[in-house]
Amino acid sequence: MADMRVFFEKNDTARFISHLDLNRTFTRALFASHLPVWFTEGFNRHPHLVFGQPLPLGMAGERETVDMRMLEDIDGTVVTAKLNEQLPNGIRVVFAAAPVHAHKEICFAKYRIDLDAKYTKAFDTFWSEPSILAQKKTKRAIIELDLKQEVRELSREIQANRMILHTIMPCSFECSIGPAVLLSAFEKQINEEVFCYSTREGFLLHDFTDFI
Amino acid sequence: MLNPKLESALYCVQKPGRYIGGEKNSVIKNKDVDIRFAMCYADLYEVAMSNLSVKILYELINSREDAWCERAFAPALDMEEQMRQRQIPLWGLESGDPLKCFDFVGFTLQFELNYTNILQMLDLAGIPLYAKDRSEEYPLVVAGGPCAFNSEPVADFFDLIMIGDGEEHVMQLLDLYAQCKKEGYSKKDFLAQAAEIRGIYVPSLYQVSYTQDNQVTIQPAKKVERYIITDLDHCFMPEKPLVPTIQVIHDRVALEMFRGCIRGCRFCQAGMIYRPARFRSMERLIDNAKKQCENTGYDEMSLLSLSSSDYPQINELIDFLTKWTCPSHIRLSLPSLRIDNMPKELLEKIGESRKNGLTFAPEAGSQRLRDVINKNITEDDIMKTCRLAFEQGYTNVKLYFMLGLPTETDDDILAIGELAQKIVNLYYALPTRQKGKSVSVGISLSTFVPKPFTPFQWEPQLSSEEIDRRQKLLRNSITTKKITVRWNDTNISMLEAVFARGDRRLSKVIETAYRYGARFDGWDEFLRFDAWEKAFAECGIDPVAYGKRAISLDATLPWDMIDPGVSKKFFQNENKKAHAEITTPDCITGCSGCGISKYKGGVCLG
Repeated sequence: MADMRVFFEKNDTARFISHLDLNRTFTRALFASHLPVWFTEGFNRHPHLVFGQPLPLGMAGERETVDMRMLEDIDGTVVTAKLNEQLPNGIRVVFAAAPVHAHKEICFAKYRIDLDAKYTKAFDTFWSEPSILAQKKTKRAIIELDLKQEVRELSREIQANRMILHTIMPCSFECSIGPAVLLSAFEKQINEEVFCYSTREGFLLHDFTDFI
Repeated sequence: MLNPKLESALYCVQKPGRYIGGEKNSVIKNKDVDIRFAMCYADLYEVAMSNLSVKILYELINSREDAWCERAFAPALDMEEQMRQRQIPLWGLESGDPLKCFDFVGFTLQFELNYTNILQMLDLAGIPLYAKDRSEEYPLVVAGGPCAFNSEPVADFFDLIMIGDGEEHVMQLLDLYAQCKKEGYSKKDFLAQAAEIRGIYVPSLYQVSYTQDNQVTIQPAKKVERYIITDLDHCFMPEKPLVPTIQVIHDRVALEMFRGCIRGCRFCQAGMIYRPARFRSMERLIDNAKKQCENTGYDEMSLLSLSSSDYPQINELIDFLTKWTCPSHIRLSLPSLRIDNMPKELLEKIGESRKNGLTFAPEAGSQRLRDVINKNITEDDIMKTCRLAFEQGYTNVKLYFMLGLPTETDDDILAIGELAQKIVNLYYALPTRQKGKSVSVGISLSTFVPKPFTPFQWEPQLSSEEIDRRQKLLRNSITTKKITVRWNDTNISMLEAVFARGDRRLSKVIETAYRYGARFDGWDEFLRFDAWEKAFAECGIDPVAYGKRAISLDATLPWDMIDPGVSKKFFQNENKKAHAEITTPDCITGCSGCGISKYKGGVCLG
């Protein structure tokens, strides 16, 4: 038995594949790939898959992860190649290797938010406040939080007519704050619907190094 | 890549996965192919992607170098609203191009209550609804499938309609089109040529008229003869079917064992219009099953046919398939089982992979009524199979019945409840039953809908009030909680009967109901019956005259321009035999002379 962590991209049309459907998609790809994957031994046998934090519907991911267990030692490049033959448009395995960190070690995620440059001034004003209260809906309640406390890093650059935000936000089992929370606070401030493309670039540990 | 307009709409709708394409085995080609075909299904993605004909035609048409087949399905109401707001015309899932720029927009007509969604899709695509209003620049709007046999209610919307097995037929049509396009034919000239192909019905070439008392005249008298593939074993089967990313209704490999049915249930249209029963060889099925599983990664496979246990080598086939599917963790399911020829081994074998409930369709509660409809099963058969099932550890039995069958009396209805009670009693009388486990018998009641090209095509459907009374009669006769009764909406069955036996006067009603907001009429939660009531009233059409009317056996029928291969004489005789409570044997026991044997295919070869 060998654990394998598969890093993959999820973009283009695949951004609209939900977390549940993503699970099914990988299950089928594994079936068709004939990789020596380990099956659960319950009533309903299926390959055992553990994903990193789920990606919100519509957001792209560049370094998403899924863990699986192989019945024998197998080279990561083989896993990568075989899975890529089977996955649908927009999902592509980048590499696969034995996992180093445990999922519970994920603390943050790095995001890239791409929006119209016409919001630059408004955004700078918005972000210059010492404290920015925002709301996040959870299954149980609506939580009030201060974005200036929660967002660990935020920088922006202008590329042609686009403003790109680079940011690091909490992403763990205890607390996850994604670009949506930031965006809705901004929308509330300027009282306008803002359209953007968000990409999760990868998971980070407590010391901001890569989760691998 | 998604276009930005569509992308922003996707954030505002439920299940955006319905609208993105990009599934495994979807096909991307160069846009400058000669023929661009949009395979359309006028229902939600989850329903459309469950349909075998969509998978067959998609792969088949894409096997041609000169054609690219894409898909388009009915958007849900939330998406429709977004599309109108953002002015997104209906597009092909593969290229994202608007349907308007295709050569063909082809619908499969599987169900009468999808008709308003055909108009929804054409309208959202910016294509004029009526064939007569579409000039040269618009695509040809075509249709096929079971409801194509009486397509009269929607005939005005289509340029041509294909009757019969689609595989070879659609290839012939596209061959002709490719040639006509090269030679610069007009639409009218192409249609005239196409009408020469067997099985192609061009509604505009037929003049029909109706009198106040529903006398029908059809000109010319020449009939459109159904296209039949006699050798199904060498016919195309999908090998790389599309694998939807979101969960759809039938989310598994479908293996079509045979087409047609040897039985002659008198209410059943499929049992008549797909005659003769044509079986595929075991070798072909096994080979295809492996290829499909290999190319999809599905872990579930379903054997399709109208009556699975009628496949001649069903035991050997299941044996072979389980030997191969079990080690690879593939589950096998076997729907459409008959209750009278269910061998013990078969029951054991299906049980090996998973033990769900068993579902059977006795259709009628009393022996008398089962003889009338020619179901040819006895109470003994039912009891024997239930006993076997219980001994195997099954505790769930579901039974399908129809209410309002011709000649049905209150006694026949009460017999349904009595039969269910006998099954419950049987369970408790068995010494082998598991202690502490209860039995559950489900009764599903649907309403009889007279269908064209069946021996019951002349029979009336009961009024909604009478159906309600009969449903209540049965429900009140049930005294135990071990029996549950489910029934369906009488309004839906009423509309189904209107359109099943409808004629061209109904196209206006469908259009009007569509304008009043009717969509997804077969879905309980979406049916807007008020829209239909308004539409019938506004068009001055009495729906009762369509569904609830008994038609005389010698009248010209609105769908008489179609020749399904089974003779009208046979239907008439079967109708008379029904009223005399005389049964007809199945095609293997003895030929009943339905007329299909002239094609020398399948079971007719003996």
